Amino acid sequence: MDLSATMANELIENCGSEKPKSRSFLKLSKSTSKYNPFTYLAGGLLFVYQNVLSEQISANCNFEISCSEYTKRCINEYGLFKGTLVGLHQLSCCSPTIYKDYCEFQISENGKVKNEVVK
Amino acid sequence: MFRIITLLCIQLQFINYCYSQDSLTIQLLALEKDIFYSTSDTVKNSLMVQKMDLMMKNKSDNDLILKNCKRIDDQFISDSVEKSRFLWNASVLAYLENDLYYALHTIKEYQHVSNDSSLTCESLRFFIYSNYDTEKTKIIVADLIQRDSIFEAYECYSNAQAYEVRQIQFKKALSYILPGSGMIVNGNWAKGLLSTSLNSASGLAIYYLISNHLYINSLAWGSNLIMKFYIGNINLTEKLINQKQVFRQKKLAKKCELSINECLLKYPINYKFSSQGF
Amino acid sequence: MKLLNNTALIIAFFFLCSYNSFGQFDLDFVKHLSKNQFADEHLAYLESSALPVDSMAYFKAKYFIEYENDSMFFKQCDSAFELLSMDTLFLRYLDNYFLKKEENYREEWFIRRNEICQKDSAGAQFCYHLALNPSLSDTTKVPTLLRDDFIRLAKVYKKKPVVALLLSAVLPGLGELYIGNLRASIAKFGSQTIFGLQIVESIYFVGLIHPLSFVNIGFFSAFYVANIVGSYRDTKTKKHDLKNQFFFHVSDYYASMYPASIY
Repeated sequence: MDLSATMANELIENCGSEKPKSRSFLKLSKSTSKYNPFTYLAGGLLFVYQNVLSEQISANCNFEISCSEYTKRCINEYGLFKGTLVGLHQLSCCSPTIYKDYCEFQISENGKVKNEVVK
Repeated sequence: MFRIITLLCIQLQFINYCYSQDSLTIQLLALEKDIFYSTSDTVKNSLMVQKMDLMMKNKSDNDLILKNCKRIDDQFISDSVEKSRFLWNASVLAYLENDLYYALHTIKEYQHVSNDSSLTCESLRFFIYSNYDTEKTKIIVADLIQRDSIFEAYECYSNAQAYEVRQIQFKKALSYILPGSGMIVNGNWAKGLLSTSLNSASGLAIYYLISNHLYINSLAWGSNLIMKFYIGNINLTEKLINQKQVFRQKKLAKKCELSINECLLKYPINYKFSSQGF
Repeated sequence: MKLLNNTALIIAFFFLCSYNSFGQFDLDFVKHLSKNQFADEHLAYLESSALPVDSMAYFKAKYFIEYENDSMFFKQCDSAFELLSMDTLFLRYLDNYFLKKEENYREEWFIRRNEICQKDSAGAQFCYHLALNPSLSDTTKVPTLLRDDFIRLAKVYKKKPVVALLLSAVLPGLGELYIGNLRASIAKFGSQTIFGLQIVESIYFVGLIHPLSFVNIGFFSAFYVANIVGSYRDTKTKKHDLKNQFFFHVSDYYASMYPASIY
C-alpha cells in the first residue's frame, strides 16, 4: 500500500474505535451433547445473558474468563451436567476479594484472576 | 561439459544470493558489523541512517525500522540535509507506529533544522498534531486552507474529531430519575425499554415479596436484582452515549476520507531518500 | 567462455558458496546484536559463521532462549551438550528460565539438566526436585526466604480431594476452608446460608408448592452440588498452582541471589 494511503487510513482509524463484537452461541464439539435439547437451552440462556442482560447489570466479573463464558466453555468441554456445575462453582466463588485466594502469578495486570478450562 | 556444469552451479549460487529472502538480512548484517566496528560516532550514526534507509526501501516492518531509528543520535549527523532527511523519515515512521511523543519531538526538530514550511510539511504536522492538540491542529488547518483550499478536507476531519453528542448531562440525569429513559432519549429504544421493564418488574417482585412478609427474600433478591439493574442502567447509558459519540465521529471522518486522499495525492507524504544512494 | 579456465570457475563457485561464511566469529558482536534485539541479523550472523557443529548449536541454543523459542532450543540442546555443561552461568539462567515456563518444557529441561550434570545439593535444580514430592521434613533444606512457600505447598500436598468433597457435602464452604481458600469458603457459606434462609422463609409464608420456593430450592441445590464438585477440583488445582508459585519464587530468588545471564 502507498505510504500516503496508509497515513490516511491511520488518520481515519484514530478517529473513534471499532464497535465491540457480540459474543457467539455455544459451539459444541462433543457428539454426545449434540442430541441433548437441554444443552441448547443452556446455550441459549447463556447467549441471551451475554448479549442482552450482562450489559444491563454492568457485569464485571472478577475472573479473566467471565463466569458465563467459562460456563459456556465448560459445557463445551465436559458436557451439560459437569460443565454447568463447574461454571456455577466459579460463579459462587466470584467475589471482589477472591484474588487473595490465588497465587500471584495467577493474577493478571488488570487485577483479575486468570482461569482456563482444563482439557 | 565440466565448464557448463560449473557455470550452471555458479549461476544458481548467484541467483540464490541475489534473490533469496535473506539477501536483505545479509546486507543489514554487513551494515550492523560496520556500525559495531566503527569507532567514530559520526560514522556510526551515518551508517545507522544508511541501515534505516535500506530497511525503508525494502519495506521492512515499521516497528523494526523505528527501533533502528531510535538508536540514531541526530547530533552526530553533521550534514544538515541528511539530518533533516532523517528527522522527516523518523517523524513519518513514528506517526505510523503511533509513537506520538517521538513524532512530536522529531517534527519539531525537523522544522528547526530545515525551516521547512512547505504544504507537505504542514500536512504531516497536521497528521501528528491531530491526535494531540486540537487547538494547534485548528491553527495548522487554517493556515493550510489559506494557502490551498483543497485542505478543507482537513477541516472536515477536525470537525469530525470535535463532534460531541448533545445533552449528555440531561441524558445521564434522566437515567437516574427513570431507569432506561436516558437510553431512549439517546436513541437506544430497545435497550432503554428493556431496562425500564427489568427495573419495574424487579421492583414489582420486591413489592410482592414485602407484602407477603418475605423480608429475607426481598432483601436477597432486592440487593441482587434492583440494585444491579438500577446501577447497570446508569452505567449503560453512559457507555451508550460514548459509543454514539465515537460512532458519529467515525462516520463523519469516513465522509472526509475521499477528500483527504485527494489532498495526499496532490501533496504526497513520502519517505525522503538520499540522492546519493549507497 | 574461452577466457574462463577451470581453476577460475572453481574459485568463483567456492567464493559464492562460501559468501555467507567468511569472517571471524566475534562474541562481542553477538552480544551487541543480542542487546539490541536484532533477531534476524543475529541468526544470519550465526549461520554465516564458520563454527564447528557443537559451537553452532550452543550459540543457536542461546539465540532461541533469548527469543523464547523453547522447542527449537531443545532441538539444539543435544548437539551442544558438552559446551552447555561447562557454561554454569547459562545453566543457572536456564534453570531460572524454565522454572517459570509451562510444565512440559520445565520437565523436559530438568530431565536434560540431570543428564548434563549431577543433581546439586542446593540451587534451583535441587528445589525443583524437592517440590516434585514435597515433604515437611525437607523444609530445612530449602533457603529461608522460600520456606513459607514450601511449607504451604507441603501442607496442601497432603490434602485429599475426596476429603474436601465430603467436607463440602457436610457444610458448604468447609471443603474450601480445608484447602486454605478462606475467602471462597466465606462466599460459599454465606450464599448457601442466605439461600437456605430464603427457602425456610418462603416455605413458611407461601408454602412448598409455590414458584418462589421452587426457584430458591433450585438455586440452593444447584450451588450445593456445584460446591461439592468444585471443592474436589479445587484441591487438585491448588496443588498444581502452589507448586507453580513455588517455582516462580525459586526462580526469582536464585535470579537475585546468583545473577545469571545468557552471555
